[in-house]
Formats: sequence, C-alpha cells, structure tokens
Amino acid sequence: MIGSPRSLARRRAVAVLTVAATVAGGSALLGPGTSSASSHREAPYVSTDPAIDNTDVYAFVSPDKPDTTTLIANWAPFSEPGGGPTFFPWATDAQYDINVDNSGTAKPSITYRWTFKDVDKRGTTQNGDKAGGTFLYAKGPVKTLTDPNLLFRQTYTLETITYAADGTPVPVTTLKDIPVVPSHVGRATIPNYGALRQAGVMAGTVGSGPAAGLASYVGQAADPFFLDLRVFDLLYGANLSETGFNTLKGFNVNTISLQVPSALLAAGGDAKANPVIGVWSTTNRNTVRTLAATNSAPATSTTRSSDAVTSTGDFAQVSRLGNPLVNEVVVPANLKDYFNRSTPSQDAKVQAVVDKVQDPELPYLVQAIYGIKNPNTLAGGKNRPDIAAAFVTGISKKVSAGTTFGGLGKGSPNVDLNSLDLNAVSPNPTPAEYLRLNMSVPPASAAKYSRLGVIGGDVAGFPNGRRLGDDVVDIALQVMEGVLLGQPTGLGDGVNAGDQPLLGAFPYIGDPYSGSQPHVGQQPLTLQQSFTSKGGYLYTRVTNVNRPQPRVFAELYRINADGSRQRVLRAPINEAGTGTGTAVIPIGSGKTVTYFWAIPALFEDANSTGTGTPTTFTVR
Amino acid sequence: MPYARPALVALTAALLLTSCSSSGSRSVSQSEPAPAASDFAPGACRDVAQAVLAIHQGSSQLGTGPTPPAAVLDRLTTAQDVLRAKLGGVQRPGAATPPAAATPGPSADPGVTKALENLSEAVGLVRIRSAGNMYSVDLVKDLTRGYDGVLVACGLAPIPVGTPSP
Repeated sequence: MIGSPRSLARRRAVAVLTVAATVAGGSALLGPGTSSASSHREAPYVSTDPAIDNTDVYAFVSPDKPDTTTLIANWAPFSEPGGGPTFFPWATDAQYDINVDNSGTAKPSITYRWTFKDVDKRGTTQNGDKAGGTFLYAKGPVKTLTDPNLLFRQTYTLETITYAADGTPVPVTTLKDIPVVPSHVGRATIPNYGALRQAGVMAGTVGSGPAAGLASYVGQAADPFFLDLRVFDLLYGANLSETGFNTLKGFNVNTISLQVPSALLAAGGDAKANPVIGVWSTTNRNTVRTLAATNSAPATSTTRSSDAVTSTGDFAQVSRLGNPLVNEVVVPANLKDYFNRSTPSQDAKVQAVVDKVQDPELPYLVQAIYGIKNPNTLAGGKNRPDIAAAFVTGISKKVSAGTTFGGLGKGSPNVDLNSLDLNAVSPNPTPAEYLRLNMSVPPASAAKYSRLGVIGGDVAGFPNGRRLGDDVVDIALQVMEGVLLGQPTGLGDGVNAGDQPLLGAFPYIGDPYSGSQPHVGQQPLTLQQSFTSKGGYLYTRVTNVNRPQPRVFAELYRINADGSRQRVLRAPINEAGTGTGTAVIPIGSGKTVTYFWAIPALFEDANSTGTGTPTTFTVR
Repeated sequence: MPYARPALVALTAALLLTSCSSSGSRSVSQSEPAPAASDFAPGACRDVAQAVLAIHQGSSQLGTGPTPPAAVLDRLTTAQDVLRAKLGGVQRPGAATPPAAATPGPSADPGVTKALENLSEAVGLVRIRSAGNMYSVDLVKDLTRGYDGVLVACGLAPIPVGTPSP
C-alpha cells in the first residue's frame, strides 16, 4: 500500500508529539487545575528605522533556573560590528516593550517597558586640538560601564506595567538609569566585553513590587537568529538551492533580556493553574517628529546637531513581533506595515492575514517546482489547522476538538501543550499571533534537546515558546510543508545553528561580534593541508577551512615538472571546514612531487578562494 | 596515454573518499531485472513507462553524498515532468512540453494514479533535499518503494507478501 506511509507518517508525527509531551512531564505537566521568528527589515516602515525594528522574540523556561522564565527581545538588525562612529544606540524617543498575555484576551496583562537616555560627552572632549569635540566613541580603553573613557553611553529605565480592569495602565518604575552595555566598538576600545556584560546584568537588585526577583540585561549581542536569507532570492535561488549560508553570521543586534520568576508572569501569580503565557514585543514612537526648518551649529558643547529633530505627541506602535517569520514570509507585502501596527487582539478580524495562515504561499511554490503536494490537499489539511494551532491558538486537546477559538485549529495534534485554553482563568481565549509558552514544561535535558523543538520530539522548544537555539526556519518549512499532516519532507535551509556561542547563564545570548573583527565576507579564506607518505602512497587531506560553504569542494593540484598545475581530485568540505576523508594516492616510493590544495571561488568576492602553499616532498 | 595516470589516481582517490557508503537495503525490484517499456500495459502505464524506468535507473545513480550528480537529478526532473503531465495539475515552471503520450488523458485506474503520485513525490523529495544540500541515501528507499508501487499498480510485479488483497 503506497498510501500507507503517509498515514503512518502522520501517526508518527502525532505520536512523537504525544510521547514527547508525556515524557516531558506527563499529564500533570500540561493541564490546568491538575497537580500541577523573526523579522529583520521585514516591512517598509521599519526598514527605514532600524533602531526600533524588532528582529526576534524568545521566551523559554530558564535552563539553570527552571522556576523562572527568560524573555529576550532584539532590535537593530544587521548591525555591522564596525559600524562607527555612531554605532547602534537605542532610540531615546521610543518605548521598547515586551508584552505578556496571561489571561487569554490577546491584550497585554503585563508590559515591561524600556526607555533610554543618552550621556554624550563627545562634544566636550578635547584631544589637544584647537576646538573641543571628538569623532571617537571613547578616549581610551573602557573597562567599566561608567568608565570616563566611554564618551557616549546610554542608560535605561524599566517600567513594569499592569492593567486595571478597565484597561488603564498602572506603571511601576522597576529599574532607573541603569547603564546600557555599549556597542562592541572594537578590542582596543573594549578589551573585555564579557566583563562589561557581567557588570550589566542587574540581578537580585529589585526586591519588591511586581518585578521582585527579576534579572535584567540591556546591551549588544551577536544576532542569535540563524538562517539563509536567500529565501528572498526567488525562494532560495528559485529552486531551494541557495541554502547553507548563515546570512546573519557576523552581525549584531541590540538585546533586552529579562528573567522573571514564572509565578510573576502567570495569571493570579499561579503558574500551576495558569501555566501558559503569550509573549510579543512592540516598539512605540512619538506620532510627531519635527525637523527644524533652519540649521545652526550646536549652541553649546553638550548639544548635538541631531537635536534639530524633536519628537512629540502620543506614542504609537510601529513594530510588533511574536512568532518568527510571520510578518516576514506569511503576511503579504501590502499588509506588513499594518501588521506591525496591529495588536494580537485584532488578528482574527483581519481576514487577509487569517487566509494567509490557513493557506500559506510557500507550499504552492514548492508544489510548482518540486511536485510535492500542497498539504492543504492532504487529509485534514484544509484550512491548515496545524499552522493555525502553531501560530494563533496554541496546541491543546480542546483546540484539536474545535471547542475553543471558534474551531480554528480543529483537527490539529490532539495534545495539551501550549494553548491558553489550558489556563484555569482563560477557558475560552482569543485567537492571536504571539509566542505561547507553557512555563510548566521543564527545560530539555541535553539528551532530549532538539533544535527542531516539538517536531523533533522536544516539547520545551518552539512552538512552545522559543529558545535561542531553536531552528525555527527548518521547523516552519517542515510544518508548512505538512510534517504534522503526515508529509515529512526533512526540509531546511541548511543552517542548523548560530555561530557565536550562547552563554550558560543569564543573559544566555552570545556576546557581540567585535568591531575589530572583519566581517565574514572580508576574511580571507584560509585552509590547512597535510601530506604524509608511506609505502609509495601519498596521504593528504584538507582541514580548517575557515569559510566552509555548501557545495564547496577542496581541489588537490599537482605541479608538474613543466610548472603546469593539474587538478587531481575534488573533495567535499563539511560544515566544520574539513575535507570528507583522506585521499590516498599511489605515487611510488622515492619520487619527488609537489602538491597543494585549493578552494575555488564560490562567490564573487576574491576572499572566497584560497590556496595552500605548494609542498614538495619525496614519497617514502 | 599521458592522462591515464591522473585519471586512475583520481578514480582511486574518489573511491577511497567515498568508501564509507552504506549498502542500503535491497527491494524486490532492485534484485530483479527491470521490465521493458513494452511490458507496461497500454494506456497510462505504457504512457509513462519510459519515465518510470528512467527514475528507477536514476535511483541507483544518486550516490551517497549530500549532493547527487546534477546529470542524474536532471534526468529525474525530466522523468518527473512526464509523470506530472500525465497526472495533470500544477506543472513545473519551465518544464518541456511533454510527449503527446504523457498528456492527461482519460483518467487512469485510481490505483495507478495514486502510484504515480507517490513516485512523483518521491522524486520531488530527492530533488528538493538535493537542492538544499540535504540529500540522504534513505530517500532512495522512497524512490524504490514508489517504483515498486507503480509496478504493482501496473500489474508488473507480484503483490508483496502481507499486502491485503482487495
């Protein structure tokens, strides 16, 4: 029966989900009342205003403090580490928010809000020249966050906002005028970023109020998101062949990390009865920005020419992000700015967005190119309840049965995982697009961890919240192509992890790339080659290729007596930059030969080619 | 024969570089000679026979690396185009005009249609995974299973033991 593998696969997918959920905590884990993406420059407006362009949101149970939950939101995409002299300040006329819905209304129950101030001494610094003022960010090595050498720095204030029954915000100042860890200008300016990062972690400093016990970090970080952005080159080069290159490697973001006792995030302070939260970030800007009609030099050394811009008026939301990739590849271009200004509570009312969730574009493209069925034609695939559950309802037995969310997600996996209908306070929540985290699911052990999260059998990962290492692109590709409907494709973009190491403790996100470090495309390609011989055979391999890319082959050349070079073989290079195997070449004892390895140019830049030193030796 | 030695060296080295390939499992279809196109029953089966046989042949030439030979993938793509043309529905952009015999005709036996769909999808998976540098030799099993299914649907192979009788 040819058809049976599909139904078997579907049963397998659901079984994986079921078993994984059970293993991770059993029935007590998920039920109330028991014992117990991404968007870089994704829309027209934010692409002109990177300081307020949020890139990703993460929410996960803290692996080393499982009674707490960590929320991370990033802004300022594609921050090139060497992007001086202004580098990447937070906007001082914006509000940066992380929102939490714990009551199923699709509106914030709690908002954590960060606002920023500049401390700018560049105009008053004199380096012996005639006039005051410097173009430099610092006048010497910066060793502390308040080091006088740091001429431009920022501070932040964190407010924790709860809402009265009528929706009136009730703000409480939680942290005030805390130093922001600056952009990693370079090793000369910041010799030890780790020390500054440690100093920037505010933990245990807040002892009362709605933020008691939290930890906060604001600074720069290596962008933890990883993907091949050539998805936008007509879908990975028109045929999914342009994959395997982490486009974000080498770029930084501005990050806010917040660690909160889970009980503070849960409705009623009860993370057992109400373990599921919705999380999304937003940025707000003043509705009026005025550029002075006339120009004049700064009046004093403490003012700046940019002070000619003033921002006034109410704040309006200009950017929004919950699940990765939604506004990037699901929402059509004409709705992207709208989506960024909308609220989760409005999502179900915008039919064009609902339609895109229930009938996404990608499977049509894949079907046309590769003849792989659009999952909406599979049994149970109509209106894609699997995608609806992942993005707008969460996963639960009630969602699967169609008894909540107006039937959205009916037929999705029959498992209690992360729908807000699992909360005692919200038996009938509002559908909304945001991350959903069941805080009662413990962090995965190393043995259970899967970069594919739930579809990889690891229910502590995406779409149950999102961890820094979750491979949301591969997950999204596979889900969109129907893995939960019994159509496993194993699709992915060939990028399985970020490049900068993550930290084992708060703030978890990896340190930023330094401005001293040439960007990936600017680094010359280097390789190491080894040659040994025995019994008349040459044994040779290539290792440590510093820019391994898919489809890159190392080529072994022999230099002939007349000086001509002759390619002898090609060897694939793996992700670690090592040739896959040792070539063994019969030559004959006593013969003297010259060989070298080379990597042919893959891209247009000259740095993507490299050649080993021709090595002459007599074969033993 | 000045180039014979480098060629031999390259071949030797290449063999050594790929000497860790897995043997994989063998299906009935792999152990028996493939039928001729003329063995396929007239109609839908005969119309796509050449394409089905080309896929079967190609499945043994995909190799074990992450990126199968482009020429083999091209042949699989062309053969899949024929199946897709016979099945109707969405066609590959840029696909060559299929031979007249492979254009949609009177609907085939549902069992044949299903078998062709599965074989076409198996080819699609090989292509998409290869394009993404994620080809796995396990995918050959799907191709073989799809090919076996077509043979069964077209009455060219015994029904495997354990398959429920209609």
